[in-house]
Amino acid sequence: MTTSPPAVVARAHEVHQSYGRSLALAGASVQVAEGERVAVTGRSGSGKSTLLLALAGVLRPQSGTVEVVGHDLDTLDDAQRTRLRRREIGLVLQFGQLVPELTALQNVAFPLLLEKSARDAAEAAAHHWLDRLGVGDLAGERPGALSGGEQQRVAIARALVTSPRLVLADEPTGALDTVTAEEVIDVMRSATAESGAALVVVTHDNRVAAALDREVVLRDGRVVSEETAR
Amino acid sequence: MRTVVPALLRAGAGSRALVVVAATAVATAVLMAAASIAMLWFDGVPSDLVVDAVGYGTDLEAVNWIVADPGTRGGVLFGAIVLVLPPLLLLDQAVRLGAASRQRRDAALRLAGATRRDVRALAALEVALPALVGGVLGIPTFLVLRSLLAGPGFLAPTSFPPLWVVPLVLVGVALVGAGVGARAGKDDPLGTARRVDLRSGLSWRGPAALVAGAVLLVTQLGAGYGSDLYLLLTFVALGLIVLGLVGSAPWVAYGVARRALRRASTAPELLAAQRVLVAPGAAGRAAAGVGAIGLTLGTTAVFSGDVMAMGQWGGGDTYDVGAVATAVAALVALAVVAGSLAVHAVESIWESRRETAFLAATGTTQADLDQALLRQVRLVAVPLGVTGATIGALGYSGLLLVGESLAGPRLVAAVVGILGTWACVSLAAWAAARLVRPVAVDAARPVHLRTE
Repeated sequence: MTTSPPAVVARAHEVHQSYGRSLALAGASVQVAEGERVAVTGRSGSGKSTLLLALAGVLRPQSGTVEVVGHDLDTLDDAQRTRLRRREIGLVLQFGQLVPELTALQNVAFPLLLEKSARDAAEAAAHHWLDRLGVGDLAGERPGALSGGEQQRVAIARALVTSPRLVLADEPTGALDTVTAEEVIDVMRSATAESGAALVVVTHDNRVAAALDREVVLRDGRVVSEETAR
Repeated sequence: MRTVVPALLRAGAGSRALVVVAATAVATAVLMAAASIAMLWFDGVPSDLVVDAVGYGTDLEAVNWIVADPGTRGGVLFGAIVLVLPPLLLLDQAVRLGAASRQRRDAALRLAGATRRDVRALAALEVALPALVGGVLGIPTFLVLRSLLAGPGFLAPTSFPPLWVVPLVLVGVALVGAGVGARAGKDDPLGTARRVDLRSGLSWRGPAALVAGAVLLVTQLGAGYGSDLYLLLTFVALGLIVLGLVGSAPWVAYGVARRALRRASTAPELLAAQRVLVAPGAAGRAAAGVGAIGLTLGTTAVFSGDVMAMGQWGGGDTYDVGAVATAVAALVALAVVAGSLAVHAVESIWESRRETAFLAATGTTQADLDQALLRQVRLVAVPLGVTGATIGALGYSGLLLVGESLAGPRLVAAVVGILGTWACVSLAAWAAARLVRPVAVDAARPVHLRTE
């Protein structure tokens, strides 16, 4: 009996991007399959975050193609890319991603409200994910009152609340201590496994990379190696 | 510390200093106009400056009867002083621009050994210097204002306050700036290590002044209409009401934001309500001038209704000129308040640009962000303006109800005044939101997602 390979959720091909005279991506190519968990590693300035922003459709690369859930991002206008991100992509950054004025619950419910969900339904879904991530009792708190680890859990809940097919995280554990970082990565792995979303994590941390299915190493804006986890 | 102050002052200069200069220039000009009018009490009105009817059109050297008559001059003076409030509130807003980054700088200075006093002195100097420049520029601004006011006879074309008043006003404005600046200076050395909750305290002084003013306004009727005591008590009561309205603005912001949060069903509504709710003091201060302007517009509307009902409108009577001039002045002040609202919006947008960029990155459209901004600006300004107009219209009508039979026209004029204020404030809020849109668009750019 043969099984068909998992569908490709995201693909970047020969992507180039520079900031002034600084070259961030020099023909980077990467592919992520459905449900796969990929670490993107490399030294500072190797283009990791730029690649992630290109996969998110936040940044339109100067050349090359980026496809996400079957859509060539270059063919979509800004409004279409915005809708695609809202529905199919969850994004987690290192810090400063939660709206400081909104409570944890409201931050998580926000993407659903943008999709015109009823407030009760949006808050119920937000409660589910906050509970799932172990911060349900902090639903009424604002980000300023939460620790770094708690803020990341709320951010992950927000990234997952729309049931995206792709979750992108840029140094999600960069500002956390070792124990909290491990907890956050465990939570991301299990939560994406539960929802079936693919996960791409940009990281400096070898332990984080080792915890995922595959490691893609960038150097000077190009993919120099791809390793499947032991 | 002294050796690094010039460098710190240079680094702090920019758009904030420009707004401080503009606000103090306008405030100085209005204060000089008020001083010129006030001096008529002491110097008397020269006989060649007074004509029987309206001065304008026949004799440009004249002041009109509203100013010449000591009985009505106080009202003009009171209006002039009220008009100083919007530029001073704009100054207050401007001083808070870039508060978070200055707070980090001040905390770093404290950690590096600067004393509490050093930090406060630097913060005071940062505002006092541009305020002094604005004060000096206020003199030519006054000359422009004087030529505008000379048309309808509110000032003679040669009016100028006594020379000793000018440095007094300049120093006063600079001191107000220094005081506001020093208050804004944060001297907590932990500012770099922990995020301070920006929720400002809601003071009961504003509502208390409002109630005291209203009570005084009602009870002073017994002092005998037209007597000196009656006039004095009326002005004190009106002053308390204006200050009360300004001081109550944070409470209005808090109340409407709580209500809006309960009713919010869309993302922009939620965002707007929460942004106001976490800092009702800042939102209230930005819109505080709207209450005083609403009060002026509401009162003017009923006054105009009276003049019309008595058939004196357009007959060359000074009352219609006064009503039109007051309405125009209030609208100009409203433009200043729109600037104040815009400055507050810029501040809140720029301080959370990373979060805004993240919202945009995760699927919040610019249209949703624009809508949240407009709602945030409108949320406090419109209720404050309408409340001010209602108090002004009904209060003025109530005062004159004794022995009068103009209730019908007054009611119509009050409704027109309230609706007109609602429309004007909505327009000002829209203008403020449009003014800061480029900043809002810039804040949503992905460049702000990069790790600092």
